[in-house]
Amino acid sequence: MYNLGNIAMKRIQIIPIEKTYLRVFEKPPKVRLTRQVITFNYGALSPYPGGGHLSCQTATGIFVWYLKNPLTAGMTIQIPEGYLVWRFFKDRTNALVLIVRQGVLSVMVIQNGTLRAQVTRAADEGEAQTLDLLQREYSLQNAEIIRLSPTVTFNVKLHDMITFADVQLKPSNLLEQCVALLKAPLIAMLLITSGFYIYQENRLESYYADKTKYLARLKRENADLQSSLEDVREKTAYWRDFIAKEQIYPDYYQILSGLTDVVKRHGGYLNMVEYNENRLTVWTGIKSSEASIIKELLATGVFQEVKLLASTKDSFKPDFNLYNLSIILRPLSPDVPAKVKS
Amino acid sequence: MDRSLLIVLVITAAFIFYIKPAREKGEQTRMRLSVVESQIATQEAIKRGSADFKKRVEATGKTATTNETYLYPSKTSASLALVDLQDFVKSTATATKMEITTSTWGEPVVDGTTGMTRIPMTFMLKGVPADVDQFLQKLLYGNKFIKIERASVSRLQDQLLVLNLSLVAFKRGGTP
Repeated sequence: MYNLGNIAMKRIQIIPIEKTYLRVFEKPPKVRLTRQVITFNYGALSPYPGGGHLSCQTATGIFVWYLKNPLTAGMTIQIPEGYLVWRFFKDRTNALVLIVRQGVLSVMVIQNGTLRAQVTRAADEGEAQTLDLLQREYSLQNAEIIRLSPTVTFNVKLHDMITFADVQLKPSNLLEQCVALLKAPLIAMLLITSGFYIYQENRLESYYADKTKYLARLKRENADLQSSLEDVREKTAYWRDFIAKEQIYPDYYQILSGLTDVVKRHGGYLNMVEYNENRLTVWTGIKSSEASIIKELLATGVFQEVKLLASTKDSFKPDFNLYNLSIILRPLSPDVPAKVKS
Repeated sequence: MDRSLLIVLVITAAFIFYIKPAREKGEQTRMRLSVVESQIATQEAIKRGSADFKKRVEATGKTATTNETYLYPSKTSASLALVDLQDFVKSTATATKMEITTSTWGEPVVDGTTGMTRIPMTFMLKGVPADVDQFLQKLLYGNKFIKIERASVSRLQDQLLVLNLSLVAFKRGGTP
């Protein structure tokens, strides 16, 4: 498993203190110099001919670490160890940080939290005098003497990497650098993804073939039933359409029976009944009021609407009123038995 | 470095030209699979409910057969259907003591919706109310599906009614 943190750490190189030479330059506040300007102004001041340099700047100073060797090309970020030491002890007011490594004594001078100097000399050449000299040189009151182990390491933070990363874009090298950095994870990812898709596609095709076979078997087994079912659907639809067109209302016998039953109950008589599609026009003579006969006609369930068009006294039978009614039929509901069924 | 770049390029090309189409094909296969699975579900439901389906098929078949008997078959010509309808109305009228005063043949028409031929006739009859009741009952609840489309009943004398009927019977098929 690739870890981006590990990849980044492999691309970071810490330059030991003893392999660098620090020079601190003052600069006006609020002025920020580009890396190119620093190189132009201070690059040639290196005590190491042909060596590279690393730099960073604060509000008032420029710190240039001259290296014995040229800078490494590519994606590697080089960070001077002296910078890391300073960052680590930045909270100390006055301090002298000592580290002895391979017979070389390196001393970092921190004054009021600012890195003032970096001194390197042979370890056996009077350490005490060196420290005394530095305290006097930089007027360090109550300077803290800090001795570091030769194997000391400092964590590199993102800010450190940003400070020293060469972010200058070189299109010609960019693709190469990206490929160098990403080739292994990219190849792995592409191979895994490709394998996954090939496997998944084969599996899916095989699964689809199995399902298709199973469907074909089911269809064969259900063939007779399916055919009957389609026949049933067809017949049902056919008769449903027929009924919807030809058997919407009760038949004429039901209509006439419903009407005559009500008239008889009222002791009345029918003079004329006309029927056309869904409408009846009736002339009837009854003794009771029109309201009662209308209510009873509606109660039969055969008729949807009953309207009184005219009423008059029967001149031949004075006890009877002659009513002219217009009646609309109620459509048959599906649960009423009918001759043709769907 | 060049070799690494070449490997990356080759694999990327393979991804674009082989894996990407394969993935798209996979999507299509998934869609086809969902259709097949839904068809399988339908077929399994049919298989599970085969007993119920058979009952339903039988019941519908019986209803359809019964319905068919109420119509004139397709092989019967429209003219013969008219003759048969007139004979049926006459015999029903005789059986119920009704008197047919006039009978008129209509023009058979093919119904565009149902595909059936409508066999229309009109009759004028005379009879007393009890006979009218018997006549209509036998006419409408007999062996054929007869629909009365228009009608009028009026009193001729004290107990004698005049019945005008426009009725229609149905014939399977659209050949008059």
